[in-house]
Amino acid sequence: MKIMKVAWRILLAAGVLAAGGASRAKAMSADDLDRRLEELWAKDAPPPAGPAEPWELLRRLSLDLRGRIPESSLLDQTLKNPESVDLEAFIVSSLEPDVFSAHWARVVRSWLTGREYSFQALVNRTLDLWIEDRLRHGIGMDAMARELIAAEGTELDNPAVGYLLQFKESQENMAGHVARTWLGSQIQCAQCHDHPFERWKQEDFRGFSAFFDRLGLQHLPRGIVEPLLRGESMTPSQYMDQMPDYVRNGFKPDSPQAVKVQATIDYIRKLRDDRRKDPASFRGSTSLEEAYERMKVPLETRRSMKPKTLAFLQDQEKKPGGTMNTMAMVAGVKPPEPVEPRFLDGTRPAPAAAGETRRQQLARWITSPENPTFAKVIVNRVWKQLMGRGLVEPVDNMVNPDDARFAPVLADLAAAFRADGYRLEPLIARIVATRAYRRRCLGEAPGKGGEHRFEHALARPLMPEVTIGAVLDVISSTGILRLPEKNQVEDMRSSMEDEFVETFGPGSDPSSSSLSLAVHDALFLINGPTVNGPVTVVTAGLERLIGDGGVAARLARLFARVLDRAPSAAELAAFQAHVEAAATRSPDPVAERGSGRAASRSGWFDLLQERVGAGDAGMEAGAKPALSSLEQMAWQDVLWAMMTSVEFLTNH
Amino acid sequence: MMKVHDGGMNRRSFLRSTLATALALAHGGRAFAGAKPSRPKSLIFLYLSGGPSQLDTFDPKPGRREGGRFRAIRTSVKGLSFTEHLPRLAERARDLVVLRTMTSKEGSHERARHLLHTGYSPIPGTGFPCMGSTLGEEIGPAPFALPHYVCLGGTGEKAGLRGPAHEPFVVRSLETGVLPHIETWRGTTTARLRERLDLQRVLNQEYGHRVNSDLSDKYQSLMDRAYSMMTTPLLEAFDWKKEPEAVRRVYGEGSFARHCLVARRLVEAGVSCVEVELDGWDTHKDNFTGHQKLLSRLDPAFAALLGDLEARELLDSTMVLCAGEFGRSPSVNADEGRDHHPECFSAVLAGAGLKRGVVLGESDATGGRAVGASVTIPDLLATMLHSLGIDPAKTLMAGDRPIALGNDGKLLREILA
Repeated sequence: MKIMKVAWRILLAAGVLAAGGASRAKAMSADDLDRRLEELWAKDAPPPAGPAEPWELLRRLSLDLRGRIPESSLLDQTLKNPESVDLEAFIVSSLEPDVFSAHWARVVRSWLTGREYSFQALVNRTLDLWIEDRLRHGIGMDAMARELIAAEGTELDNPAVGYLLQFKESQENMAGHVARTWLGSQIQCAQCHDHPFERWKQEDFRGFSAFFDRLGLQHLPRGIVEPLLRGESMTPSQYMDQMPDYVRNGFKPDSPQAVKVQATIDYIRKLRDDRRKDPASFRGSTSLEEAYERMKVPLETRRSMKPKTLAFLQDQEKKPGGTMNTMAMVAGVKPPEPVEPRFLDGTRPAPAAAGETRRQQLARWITSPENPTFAKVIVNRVWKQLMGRGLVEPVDNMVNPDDARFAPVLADLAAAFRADGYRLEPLIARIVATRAYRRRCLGEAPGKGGEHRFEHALARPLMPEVTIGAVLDVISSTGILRLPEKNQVEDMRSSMEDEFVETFGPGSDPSSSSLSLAVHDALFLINGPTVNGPVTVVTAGLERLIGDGGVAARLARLFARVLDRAPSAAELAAFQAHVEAAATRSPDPVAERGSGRAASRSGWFDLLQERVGAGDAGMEAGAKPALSSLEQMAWQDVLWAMMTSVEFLTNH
Repeated sequence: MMKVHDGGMNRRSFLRSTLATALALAHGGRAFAGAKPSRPKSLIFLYLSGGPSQLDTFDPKPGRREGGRFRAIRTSVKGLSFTEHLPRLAERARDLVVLRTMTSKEGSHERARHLLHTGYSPIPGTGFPCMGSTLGEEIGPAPFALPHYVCLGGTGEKAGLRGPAHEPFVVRSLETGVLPHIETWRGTTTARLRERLDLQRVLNQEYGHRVNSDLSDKYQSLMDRAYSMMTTPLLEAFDWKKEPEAVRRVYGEGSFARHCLVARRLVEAGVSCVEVELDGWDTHKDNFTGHQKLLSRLDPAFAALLGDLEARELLDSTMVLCAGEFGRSPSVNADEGRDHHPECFSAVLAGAGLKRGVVLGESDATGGRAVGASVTIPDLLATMLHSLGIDPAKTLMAGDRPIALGNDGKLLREILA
C-alpha cells in the first residue's frame, strides 16, 4: 500500500477534502468537534481515556472503513515502528470509492433490513450490490433514500424494490420501517390505538401509512419478466401462456383483460427503457442467472433457490388498466377506511405534480433540505456505527433529539453532512479524525445504564459478514488459496455468508452495542465451518503464517497477524506451553483424527478445500522441513483460539 | 428440582430417578393429603403454521356449504364433535379444553404469528418476548445444561427483551438424532476442543483485563454453556431412537411424530417450553387434500403425546397448546381452497392447571363468527401464564414503555381447574 506523505490530517481538519466541491460546508475541524463534545460532558464526567495504541487504532480504522483487518505489511510496520506509519493517509486511501463502498453498502443495508426479517439472501445481496453501486458513484444518502422509498420495477431490473418488498405482508410495517429508518421515529406504536405515553397518535400513523396505499405488487413468472427485460416484445396471449391455469382459463385476446395485460407489458418495458436512458441509474440484470452471476451466488445456493416468479412493484397511480393490489389480498381483515396521506409534521402534500406518486411525494418530503431530521438520523447512525453508541439513543426512536446532551454536536455534523451532499465519506472522515474516536477502548460507562459520553471507545461486535472477511484475510495471507481474480475473497465470503449470517445473524441486533449471541451461535462458531474450515485447510500455509524462529517469536507473529497486537506475558506462557507440549506428546490425538462424526454439509468448506493446494503456497524448494503433524495441530489450536476469541469478533 | 451435573449420571438413571421422585411424590400426595408433586411446569406448543381451518378440525359444520367435504365424528365429550380425520384425538377429547371463538387482530402470517407467540402485534424494534422465552426466564430451572426453549421443525419466535440467553434453540430436523453443530468439527475430538477452548479462555481473560470485562465475561459464560450443552447426558433427550419401538409406533410416522415424542422427552429432562411446528396449513388451494394429509400426522402424534404425558403423570405439570396463527374462511374459493380468517377460529389446550373435557365459546352456523364473546390472543396467553404460575400482569420495560406479559388479557376462569 502506498503511504502518501501529505498532511491529510490538516486537510481533513479544514474540511476541504471532506467537502469536495461543496466547500460551503460549515468549517468544522476535528478539534472543534472534540471541544464541543468535551464541553458538553466536562462538568461531572470521569477523565477521558488516553489515545489508543497505533496498532489498535489501525485495526479499528481498517475494520470500520474497509470491513477488513489490516494488511500484514502495514501492521508489521505499525508494531515495529509506529511513528513511520501515516494513519491519515491510510484513512484517505480507505475512503476511496472502490475501497469503502463494499463494506459500507453492507452497513447501510443492515439499516434497511436489520436482522429481524428472515427473507432470502438474494434480497440482501441484490441490495448490497445496488447500494455499493450508489456509493461508488458518489450518490448522496438523500438521493438513495428517494430511490429506495419510491422504487418501482422488477427485482431484477431495480433491486431497490427489495427494500419495501420485505414488508410486502403489511403496509403498516412498511410505513413503520420508513419512519424509523429515515426519520428516527417509532410511529408504529400508534398503529392500533393511542397510548397515553406515546408521542404519536393513531391519526399520525394512519396518515403516514396512507403514502403506501397505492402500492401494487405482482409476482410474475420469470418467463414474462426476463424476455421483457431483454427488450423482447410480447403479446397478451404470450404473457398469458406463462401464467398458471387458473389465471389463464377463459382468457380472450380481445377482452378488457387483454388490455390490462398489454398495459402491464408496456409498463415493465417503459420502466426498463427509462432506466436505460438515464446514465446515473443502476444497471440491473435481465435474468436471474445474470443476477446470480453478478452477486457471486455459489452454485449450490442457486440450485436451492429457484424462484419461479419475480416481484414487480408498481404504484397504482401509474398503473394502467385498473387495480390489482395484492398487498392485502388474503389478509382476511377489513382494511381501515382510507385516509388522506399526511406527513409527520401534520402537513399534507401539495397537489401532486404531474405523474408524481404518493411515495415520491413522501420521499421528497423526508429528504427535503427543509426537513432537519433526515440528516440528523443518518449522522446519528453513522456515529453509532463508528462509536458504538449514537449521539442520541435509540437511533430509531430519537425522541426530542434537540434536547439531548449531544444535540449541538449532532446539529453541527448534520449541517456539514447536508453541505457535503449527504455523502458518507466526508462524514466518516470527520468522525474518525476526532480524539473521541481514537481513544482507548474500555468497558461500558460505570453504573448500569450510566450515560456514555465518548470518554473512551466502546467495543462493538463485528457484522457477521466482516467476521468472515477477517477469517479469510488471515488465511489468504498464507498464500494457500488459489486467487485467480482480485475479488476472490468477496467470492468466498458470499459462499460463507449463507451459512454464517443465517445462523449468526438473526439473533443479533445490528444496532446493539453488545455481542448478542445465543448458545446455538456459540455452537456454530466452535463446531461449524466458519473457523474450523480455514483452520483445517491452512496446514500447508501454517509455516508462512508463523514464520521462522523459536516458539515465542512465532507466537508474536501470529498474535500480530490475527489480533494485531503483541501477546501479554500470561498469554505467551499459556500458548508457549501448549505448542511445546506438542513435541513431547503421545501421538494419540492424531490417531483420533476423523473420529468425530461427519458434521452437516458445508458448501463453504467444500469450496475452501477446492481452492487450497494448487495455489501459490510460496513453499520454496529446499525450505526447512515442515512442522511435525503434532506441532501443526498445536499451531492450528492456537489459530483457532484466536479466531474464536471475543477479541477477534469485536472492533475495539 | 434436582441439580444436573455434567458427569456422573447418565440420562437413563436421571430419568429413572426423576420419574421415581415424581411417582413417590404422587403416592405421597395421596397418602398425605395436600402435598403435591413439585415438578416444574412446562409447555408444549404444537404450532400449526399457516392457519388451519377450524371447520375442518375442531369446529365442524356438517351439512352446510361452508362445512366442506369432511364428516364430523363424536368425541368422548358429550355434544362435542371433531372432524372425521381426528379419530384418536376425539377419543382423548375428555382431556382437552376446546376454544371455539378465538380471534386475532392480524390476518397476515408474520404479524399473526408474532401476535400468537408474544401476545402483541409486532412493532419492529420493540422486542416483545415470545412465550417460550418468557417461560424459560420465569420458571426455567437454573443451572440447566439444555436451552429452556427448544423449537422442533420450525424457528419459533424471538426472545426480544429477554436477551440472547433466552432465544429459542432451533432444530429444523431430528432425522439423524444429532443436533446441528452439537458435535465437534470433523476430526476434532472433544478433548482437543476442550484444549482449544482453554486457550481461548486465556485470550478472553486478557481482553477482559485490557478492554471490556463485561463483554468478556458474557462471552466466556456463553462458551461455557455451549460446552456444557455439548457434553451433558441430558442431550439424549433429543434422541428419539432411544425410545422403545412400541412407544414410537403409537406416535406415528414422520418428523412431526418424532418431534412430539422428543418434546415429551425434553419436558421430562426439564425443558420449559418445546415448540413443535407443523407447517402447511395455508391452504388457499386444495384445502381438503392439504388438511387431510396434515390431520393424518397431527391426530396420532397429538393423541399419543397426551396419552404418554398422562401415563407418566406429566400432564398435571405440562400444558399442551395446539393452535395456528388464525383460522380459515368458511367460504371455499375457486381453487377448492380456504383463505385467511382471523375473526373466529379454534384452539385446543390441555394439562397443567386446566379443566378437562371443556368447550368454551360457540361459533355461528357458518363457523366464521362468534356467537357471544370471543377469546383474544392476549386472553389465551394470560390464562396460560397464570396457569403455569406466572403473573400475567408482570411487566418488562422496553425503554420507558412498560410491557405486561399478558398484554391485559382477561383470565378465562371457565377453563381453570
